Amino acid sequence: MKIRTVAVYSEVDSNSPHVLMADQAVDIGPSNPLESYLNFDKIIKAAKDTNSEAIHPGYGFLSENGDFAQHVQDLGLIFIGPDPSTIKSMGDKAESKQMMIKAGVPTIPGSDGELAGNIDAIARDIGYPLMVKAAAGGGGKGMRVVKHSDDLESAIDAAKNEARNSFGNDTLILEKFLDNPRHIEVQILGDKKGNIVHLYERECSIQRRHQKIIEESPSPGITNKLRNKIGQAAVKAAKAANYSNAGTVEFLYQDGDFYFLEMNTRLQVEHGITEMVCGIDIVKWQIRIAEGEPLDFSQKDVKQRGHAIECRVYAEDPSRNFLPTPGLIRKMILPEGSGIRNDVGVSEGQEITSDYDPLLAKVVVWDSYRNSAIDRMDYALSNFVILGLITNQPFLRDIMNNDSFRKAHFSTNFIGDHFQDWDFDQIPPEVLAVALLGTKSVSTSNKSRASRDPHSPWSNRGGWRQGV
Amino acid sequence: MDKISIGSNTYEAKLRRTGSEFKLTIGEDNYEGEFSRKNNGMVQLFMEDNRLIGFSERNGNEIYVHINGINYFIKRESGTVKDTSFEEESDDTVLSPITGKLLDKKVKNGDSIKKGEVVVILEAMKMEHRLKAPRDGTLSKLTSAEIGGQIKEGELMFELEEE
Repeated sequence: MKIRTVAVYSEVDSNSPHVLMADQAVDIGPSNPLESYLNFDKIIKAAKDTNSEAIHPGYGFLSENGDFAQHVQDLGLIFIGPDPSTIKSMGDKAESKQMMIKAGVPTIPGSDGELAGNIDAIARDIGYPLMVKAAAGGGGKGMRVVKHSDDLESAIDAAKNEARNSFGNDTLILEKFLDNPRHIEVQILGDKKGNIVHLYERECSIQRRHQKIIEESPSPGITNKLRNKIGQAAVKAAKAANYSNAGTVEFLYQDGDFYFLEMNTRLQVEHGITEMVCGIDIVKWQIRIAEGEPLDFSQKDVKQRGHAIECRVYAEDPSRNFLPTPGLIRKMILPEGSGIRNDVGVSEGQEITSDYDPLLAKVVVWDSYRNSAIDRMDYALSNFVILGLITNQPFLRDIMNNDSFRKAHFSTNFIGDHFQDWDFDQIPPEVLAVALLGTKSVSTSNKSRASRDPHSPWSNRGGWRQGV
Repeated sequence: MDKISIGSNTYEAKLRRTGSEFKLTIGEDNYEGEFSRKNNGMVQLFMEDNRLIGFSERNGNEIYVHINGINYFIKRESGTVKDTSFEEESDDTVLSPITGKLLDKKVKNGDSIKKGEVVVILEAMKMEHRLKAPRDGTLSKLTSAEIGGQIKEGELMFELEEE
């Protein structure tokens, strides 16, 4: 697109690929997000100092902060995303739910907006099991499942506390709890002329701790008729929110019905699978839309072709409750081949700290059919060499080879149902052979140890940075 | 015996090497195999009629292995300095541990050299790094890089003739 790019980074990210790929990079401070990635002033200053015209917020951090978007616009810069007022109204679960009910988008039966009045009576009307949820929530925080009326009061207190601490807002809503749902979401693109299309759905049911680790498109769990219906519902939702730019409407699906969950007013981590299946570059369109360009295609031009899967490779230990596992990446070889795409946020020689989310890489594959796509993903994962820290790579491969996954018999309970106490099976002898044969040979053992010390200048593979 | 643990699995294992052959004991079971080292830290293994490609890295008592398409994080409890030197010094090939510049070659192909003798000198970030012979022997291969030329980490620097 011939646009020059400026990356911002915190001190610990100075060697991250995004920093090295950008035309310019600006250090915005210490690892603590409040002093860097969440700091409005530092980011705006970096934009001004480099004469930037627009800010792409990515995902996470400030990407769904309406105040930030407003601030960017007020200072005469372009915010690549929807209107600040849309971000704000969609960020409030109670308000967005009201908006969807008005627009005729199916929602989960529950309390009408903010929780007030006789809570016991409201809960009885909805029926148990039900969910207590923070109105401002996200990421599984401020949520409690209540199975009996006796537990309602304590769950409300706990959710309130968590919500106040996480979001600074303890407004709660009550909803029917779906015990075995699939998570299906629809990608939306809207321009500033009011044209809105959907790029079909993503199936994101494979989750741990309410966070996705495997996504695919199309969803293997719904019929074509439902596929079109859910797509149209998403467009309706986006129109109700007066939406422009890229966004995602999330639904829960159970027993033939789907319900609006929330709308994410930003690029999703898993947008790559939609790009592979629809052949549309979503980020490119985000920028074009922000520049005021209208969509040059309509709904009937959007076709799903083949099947795409994404696996998120995390620095975490699936045998210990998915605990984050920081460490130094001593070796990394990415899988290659047709139909394989790696979106990688780290590089060999980089220290993975506990400062941020432990997502290392997104492996995306495309193939003609779901079965062959799963095979290709298993191949790609098996050629992903990453040494120096524990990752979930072996766990992801086990899922690719799981019968229920292959048959697409799953809900958001899949990992709990099938991999509750996951660990390695018996270790084959060749693993111990390679381990005991020792590492690649160097002159003397002393030096070999020195070269593996992350703080030694020898291990700084970029080389040039240390000298400046 | 080394105590090796991977996740919650623990094994008593011992490995003996003679040249490119090895004997591995895991608990009561015995295995034999052959191995060779390739560039880029790759190890080729012939074991139980299979040819396998693996990678490994180590830091202290942690060993990281990729083989059969799986990455393992391994802890060795009795891994001592003595074991380490035994493993490293019986190797025939020496690869560059760093990316940098070739400063000097001290010997020629075919020369017989003594253990500890400096073979090549590298420089990275204004610091010298001397690569020495891991054992007595005859130099069968020496890097073809010119003096002053660039060397990549993991690149073959020299090889000793098999004993």
